Amino acid sequence: MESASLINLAVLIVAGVVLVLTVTIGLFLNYHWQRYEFSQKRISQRRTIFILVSLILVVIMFYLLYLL
Amino acid sequence: MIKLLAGETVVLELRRHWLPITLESLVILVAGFLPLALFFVQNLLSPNLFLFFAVAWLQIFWLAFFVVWTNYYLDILVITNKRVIDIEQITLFNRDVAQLKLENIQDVRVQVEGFWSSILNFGDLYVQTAGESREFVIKSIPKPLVVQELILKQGVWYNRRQWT
Repeated sequence: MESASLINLAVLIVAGVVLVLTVTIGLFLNYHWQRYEFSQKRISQRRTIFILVSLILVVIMFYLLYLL
Repeated sequence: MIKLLAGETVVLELRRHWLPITLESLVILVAGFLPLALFFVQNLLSPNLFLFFAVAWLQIFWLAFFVVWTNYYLDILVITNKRVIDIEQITLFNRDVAQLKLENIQDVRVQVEGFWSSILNFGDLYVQTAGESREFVIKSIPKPLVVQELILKQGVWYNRRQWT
């Protein structure tokens, strides 16, 4: 396999792993917050921050993937 | 969520001191932004490829920060007029909930150890219970002496209520 296609494969794997990790950990965190937190209003703000920043980073990541 | 008993009211809800979580967050922040800081000095990878890996790295540290924050945020000490509830979120899938009835509390000890603990007024609380040899330890709580006094006072009031 050529080195360029190897790099492409590595990049795709990294992007996939990061995306899966983000969704899985995000779901687990949300489960914990909903189950154990007293104030749902406070947790809703944290959830928004988490989702927004994660979304921005994932979009940047995939935009860079598109540019490669 | 904690289900309160009949006639039970929450007197104090307390989280760990902010210093340990701040230090952990700083380490995560530095580690997360480290590759981006190396962007201008590296010439191994193309800029876009390097940025891609740096953003992926940052995303992983963002997740790590939220896991650490969740462990901090769900670690809570609740003092009610009937019980002391110590909830410890050790890791994301490791949770320890200890409930102490006020009537069983025999001794409350405070340990403030170290320079920063003394300056910023936080420390460990040791609660000795009757019947069991187990000692409950609540780590890094702010204003430990105030909490100690509050637990002892609640215990005295609880015993008075029981006798009248």
